[in-house]
Amino acid sequence: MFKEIIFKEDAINKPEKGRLPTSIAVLCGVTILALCTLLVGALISTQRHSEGLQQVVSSMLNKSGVENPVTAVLLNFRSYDTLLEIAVLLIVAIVMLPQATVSKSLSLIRVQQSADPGLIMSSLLRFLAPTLIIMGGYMLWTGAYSPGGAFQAGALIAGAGILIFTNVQYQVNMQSFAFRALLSIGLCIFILSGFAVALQTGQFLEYPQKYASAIILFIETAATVSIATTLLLLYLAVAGTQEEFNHDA
Amino acid sequence: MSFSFFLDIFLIGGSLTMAWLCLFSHDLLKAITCFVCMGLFVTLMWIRLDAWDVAIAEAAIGAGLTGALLLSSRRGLKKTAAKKESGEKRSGEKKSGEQDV
Amino acid sequence: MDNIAALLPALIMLPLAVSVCCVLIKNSRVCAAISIISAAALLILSAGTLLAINTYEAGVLRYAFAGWSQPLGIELQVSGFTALMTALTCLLVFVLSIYSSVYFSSSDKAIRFWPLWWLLIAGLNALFLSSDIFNIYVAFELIGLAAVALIAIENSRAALIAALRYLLVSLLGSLCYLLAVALLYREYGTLDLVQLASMTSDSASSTAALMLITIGLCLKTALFPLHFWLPAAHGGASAPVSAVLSALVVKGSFYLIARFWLDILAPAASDAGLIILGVFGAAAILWGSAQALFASRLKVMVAYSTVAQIGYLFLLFPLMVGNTQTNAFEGAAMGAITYLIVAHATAKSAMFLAAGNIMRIAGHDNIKQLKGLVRHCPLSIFTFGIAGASLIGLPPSAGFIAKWLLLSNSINTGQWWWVIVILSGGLLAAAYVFKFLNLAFTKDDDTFTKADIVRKISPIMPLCALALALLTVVLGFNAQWLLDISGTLVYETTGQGFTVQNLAGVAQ
Repeated sequence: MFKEIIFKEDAINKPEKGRLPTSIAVLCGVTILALCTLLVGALISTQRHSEGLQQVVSSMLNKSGVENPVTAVLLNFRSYDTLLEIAVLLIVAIVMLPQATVSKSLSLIRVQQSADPGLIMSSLLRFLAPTLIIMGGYMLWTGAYSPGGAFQAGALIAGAGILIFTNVQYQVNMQSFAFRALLSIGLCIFILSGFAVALQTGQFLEYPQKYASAIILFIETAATVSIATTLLLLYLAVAGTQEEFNHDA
Repeated sequence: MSFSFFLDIFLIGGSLTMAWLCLFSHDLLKAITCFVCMGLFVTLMWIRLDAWDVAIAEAAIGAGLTGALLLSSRRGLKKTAAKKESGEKRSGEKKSGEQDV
Repeated sequence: MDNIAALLPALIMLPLAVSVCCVLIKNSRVCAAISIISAAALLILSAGTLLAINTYEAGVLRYAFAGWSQPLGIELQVSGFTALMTALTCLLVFVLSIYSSVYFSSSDKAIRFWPLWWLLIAGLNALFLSSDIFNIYVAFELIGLAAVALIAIENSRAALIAALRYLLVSLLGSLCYLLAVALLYREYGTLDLVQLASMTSDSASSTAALMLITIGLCLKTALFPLHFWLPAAHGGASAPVSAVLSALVVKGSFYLIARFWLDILAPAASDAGLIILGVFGAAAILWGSAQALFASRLKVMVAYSTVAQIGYLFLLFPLMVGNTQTNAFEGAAMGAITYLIVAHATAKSAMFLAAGNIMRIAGHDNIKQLKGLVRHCPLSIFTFGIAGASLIGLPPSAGFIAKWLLLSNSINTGQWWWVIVILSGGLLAAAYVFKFLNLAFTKDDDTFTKADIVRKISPIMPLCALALALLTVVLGFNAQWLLDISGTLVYETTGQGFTVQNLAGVAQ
């Protein structure tokens, strides 16, 4: 059964062969249904724990440096998890970086004056891109008080980046040192600040309470940059619009 | 009360239908569209659960960026498929060989 | 004691920092130099932790990240067993880093290899040290993605397909595990392993969680019949990557299965479940060994041998049935498994490195075309032989001690049928190891000649492999020392009251 499901390759080239045989589809369906019944049964038959960790989080919230409990958990109480998640993003970035043919140090962004993006694209870019970036900045800032934060801000800024670089006029050099620095700055700053505060407080990532909100914002800003760059890289590498420039490099 | 109940039923039904359509549609473009729609339904579900942070992330990354990535991968796949078809006759023989397996 | 505990985060943060450096520097020579130095530092650090744990009466060290102790924050926890696993990781990483610096010296893959390599190591250390079930999920993500990426840097069609399949399997496994984490948090309101262990009951939700964890982690551990992805993935990766995947990555998820069944969710575990796990393990031994015997490629053969060796690990579970009272016995079964993990890790990585050397020299690893190879790479064949002896379980090797302990355990518990499986697994292992050695020593018309050599390799590569193989022999002579360390695990997995009380003391 697993061979049938997982060994199917090239389904895209022969879509009629990429489909599962009916027997296996039925078998999968039955398995999933059984699993769901089991889960629902387990959920109904057991009591939920009365409070979970909500009470603890809200009682410690005033010591965390931010008012949004989600941000407090992500960047203070369980900051170590977030640090590892940023490392996971770095893996994605390393894999998606185009292979260097010749390593030349070029500037990060190249502007091609000759290329004409067209009226719609250029006017869209003029209004939408700055708005998205400002929205991203707002998301980052407001994360301390209400829903928002590094991941959401990074996604918005990446959207702006996609808009800018799908345009033929601007091209980004993925081989440059600056681009790699942008990709890794999130993890770099996270580890360095964790170490720096440890010198003061003794525990890794334990912020001095007075400066907690500033440190959180600092780390989040660096993380936002890395997240946005990684998401942008993902899109550009898959879309392949930047191919020529990066192969020249 | 009853309105929110029907809203929940609508969201659950909608997301499941979209997931079904996404998995079982023959057309890749249709599948991607359904995937993005499912992302939208899931976003609304997160909002109903009062998880605004997750809802924003789901809308931006789950539906938006992933949708864009899927669309551009589809374009890439089309390009390579076109290249293969124009260049190789051998692929036809290969296909028939693989069908036996 | 506090000094060592304060250094625990370094075991995870140093690899991450090295990986960032490697991304930024992008010069393979500098990266290799940094990597070897950091690997040496890590080795010293982990050895220090291991020695400290050994002399420490509580047997457990804890470290609270960000100053928030459980249940709010995330804590690291080191016991004798996990300290041994991190020390093993760091030791293998040190040797494999030296090997890789030569292996990738003339290839542009190095630029991608080094950062991913260090991210994988960070994930492994994070997994072994973590005391938080959600944090373990994040560590799994780190390990899974880095492992997939390391297979994919081979860039061949076969490697990419294997990597994609591995990615899907690993994601499915992670999602099952995550679902179980959600169930456990809903029921008990905590994510900390030690707190959970003191609270769990045999409710329906805990049983469902245990089932999901078992399915998810067995997928990642590649227990028969969920091993279908392993041969292609481990056989298709480059030599140092295959070595680390077989030696450590599958052990990480096995460690967690054992932890959940025997410690954290022990009240929800049933005897029938333990025996079923053992039956799958026995099937894996026979099936994996038989497939290894019929494999036509050397690396695929070694990969199938991993499937078989994973089977031996799962024999731990039936040996634990009905003996929850006698601590001494449990120490014995656990000691055998610990020994097996260490023995297999060193022997299998030596074997993969030897296979990698042979592949470099011959340009392929088609077993039939490797006749008479011994004259061209005697050292690699010798390494293969020693590592093979450990896998078979011939004395004097760590593999022998491990199997001997397993055998005596199964006889002591009256479960003699496992003896048949263990012995026939050993015979099959002997068959596939000698099948290759026999060919390598054959003189025939179509033997491998000097003209067939694709390229020569630096003497460092076979020496690294030999060092690991000799390590298995050395471990065979120092059985008591290792067993002492694994004895610490007895407290961790059985005496729930003991652990919790002591941990409370340490936390204050």
